[in-house]
Amino acid sequence: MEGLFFNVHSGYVEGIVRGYRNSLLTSSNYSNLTQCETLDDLKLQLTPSYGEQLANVASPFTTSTIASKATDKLVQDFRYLRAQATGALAKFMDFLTYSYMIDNVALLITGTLHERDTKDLLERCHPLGVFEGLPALCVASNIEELYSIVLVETPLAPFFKNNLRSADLDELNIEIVRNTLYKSYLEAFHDFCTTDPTLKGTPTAELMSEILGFEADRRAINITLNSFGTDLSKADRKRLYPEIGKLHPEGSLMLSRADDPEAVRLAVEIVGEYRSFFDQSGLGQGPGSALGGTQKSLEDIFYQKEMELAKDTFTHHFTFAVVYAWLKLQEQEIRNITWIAECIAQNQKDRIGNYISVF
Amino acid sequence: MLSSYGSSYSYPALAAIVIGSYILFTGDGEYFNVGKFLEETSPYSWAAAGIGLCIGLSVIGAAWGIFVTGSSILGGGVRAPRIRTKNLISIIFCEVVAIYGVIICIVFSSKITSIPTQDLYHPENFYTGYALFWGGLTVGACNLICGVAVGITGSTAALADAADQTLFVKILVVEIFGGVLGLFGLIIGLLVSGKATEFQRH
Amino acid sequence: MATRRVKSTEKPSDDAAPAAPVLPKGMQAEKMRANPGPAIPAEVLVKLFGFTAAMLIAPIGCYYLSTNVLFPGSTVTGASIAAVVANVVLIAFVVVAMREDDGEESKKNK
Repeated sequence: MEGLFFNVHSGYVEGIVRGYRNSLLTSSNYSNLTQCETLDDLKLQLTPSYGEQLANVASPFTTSTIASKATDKLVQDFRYLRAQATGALAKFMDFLTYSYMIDNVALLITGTLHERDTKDLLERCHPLGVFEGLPALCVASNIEELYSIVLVETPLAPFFKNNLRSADLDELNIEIVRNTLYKSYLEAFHDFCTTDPTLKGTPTAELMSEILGFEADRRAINITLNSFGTDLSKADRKRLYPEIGKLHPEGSLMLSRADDPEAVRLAVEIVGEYRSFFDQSGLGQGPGSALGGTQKSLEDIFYQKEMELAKDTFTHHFTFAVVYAWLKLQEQEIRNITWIAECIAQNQKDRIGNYISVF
Repeated sequence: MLSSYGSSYSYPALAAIVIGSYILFTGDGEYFNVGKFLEETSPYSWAAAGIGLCIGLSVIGAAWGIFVTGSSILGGGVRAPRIRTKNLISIIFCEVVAIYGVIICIVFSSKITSIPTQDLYHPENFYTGYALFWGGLTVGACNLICGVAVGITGSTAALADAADQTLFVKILVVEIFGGVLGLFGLIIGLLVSGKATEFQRH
Repeated sequence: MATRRVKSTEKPSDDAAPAAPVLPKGMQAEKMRANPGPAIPAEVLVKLFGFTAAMLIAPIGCYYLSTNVLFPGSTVTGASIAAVVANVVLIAFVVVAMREDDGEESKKNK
């Protein structure tokens, strides 16, 4: 049925998103990029896709300029789409920005707690997560005030209201605040995609349920792995696990009882596809190979899986999930470009192949 | 959307129950009489309803297909302007569906001639009325579905063409098969109405 | 509302990007890059209107031609001819569209 009604509101936006996806860099583009000797060569190679943004950058430029210009392009494209979106798609895209808002708010709260320069903090915020009330957060002089501003001014109020009290903000580690917010954000987003009357039973619900479930599982695993050696209690840890995804409920119960990477591996093994992740990363094989170097590769495997999910999303038609998938693919592209630029700048050619190419 | 289905069905049902009970309890039960309805309804109204359904449903199908395809072509064309001319084929496929409806309606309306009321209720004229009604409904329904099918395929074709131009010709074949469905409706509509004569005195 | 929000959110990043172009301009540049030259060439217009007119007139015209001149009284023959003519126009358009795109490609290859 979605074929009959989807295009009434969102056909144009979907067409544009697919256009954006087609202009993402392919593996042959990446192999050209890795051949570059200097950043100027890199700029030349990037001209077809980022020419507009990189054109008027003065010649001695750094990797951070490239990253920020690429992000500018992403933000510009996203805002154009957002301006075209109506109805459920508009709400869907607002949900996409909430995750950046959570990061920004967490950044500002940490900054305020440590009394850092607010202007400096605002510059470091991700532009997609900027909202009108964001600068107001910097005005807050104490935690109580900050909390009430967050509730009044930000679209994140529902995530704060049900999970955190103002007293929590200064007591808790900011990572826990962030993860609590993220948990309720993922659950709310999942709930929106699967129960909203216009989305229920459509490919959007199906695809987003899978993607958000994966995201939730990834966070649950990462929270568990990162909590080893900290004073986070097991009950508190369990509260941070999102209640969606393939690991919920048995897997997350086992995760909540885990004491070492080996136990995490056992908990995760109930889901077939995650089992291979741990085998590949070599994590939890024995007591010697705990965190450290191998941790990084698990992260990469998760990114790889996320990109595969995003790529598969484009095989479906008449769904909002392509917007999400495009956003993730574009972000990965920015990470890849930054990595390659960094390797070129620091002359570490042997590690340059460590990017994730999807197409 | 789903929750509103309940209320949208319940009002007509309530109205039917109220009217039905009124007729039944006021002693006019035999007022509901299918045979009488069929006998007394003018063949003209059957014929006109058939023509109206035929062109109306055909145009809905064509219009639906055109907007489904059109919005995808517009969106896909922003980043890949080369898809524009080729994908107008999908639009014209939808358009042809409406033309089928128009052709049938012209054929049908040529059978409507004015005759005095006392000559109207004759088996031959009843046959013409029913043939035009059901023929028109057949053609209209075929064209409605055909238009939607071509439209959705066309939308996919536009986006697939934007991603990879070698795909277009292959998807066009699918679209042509979808478009032929409307032609089937047209043929059957012509056959059904073929034996019907004009309205005439007997 | 949407435009206002875009403007106000643009401010923080202003110093980084010299007056980040708001979208209409960006889209324009996109179009210019893809299609330099006049917006709509005359031949495209002629082709488009020609096919629109042919689609409207040809099948119905053929129907009346057939019922009034060629096979008077036989509406079924006329309708069949009209349906065939509609498909002929359709196929003609397919051929023209394909040829145009091939022409564009070979132009690009040169």
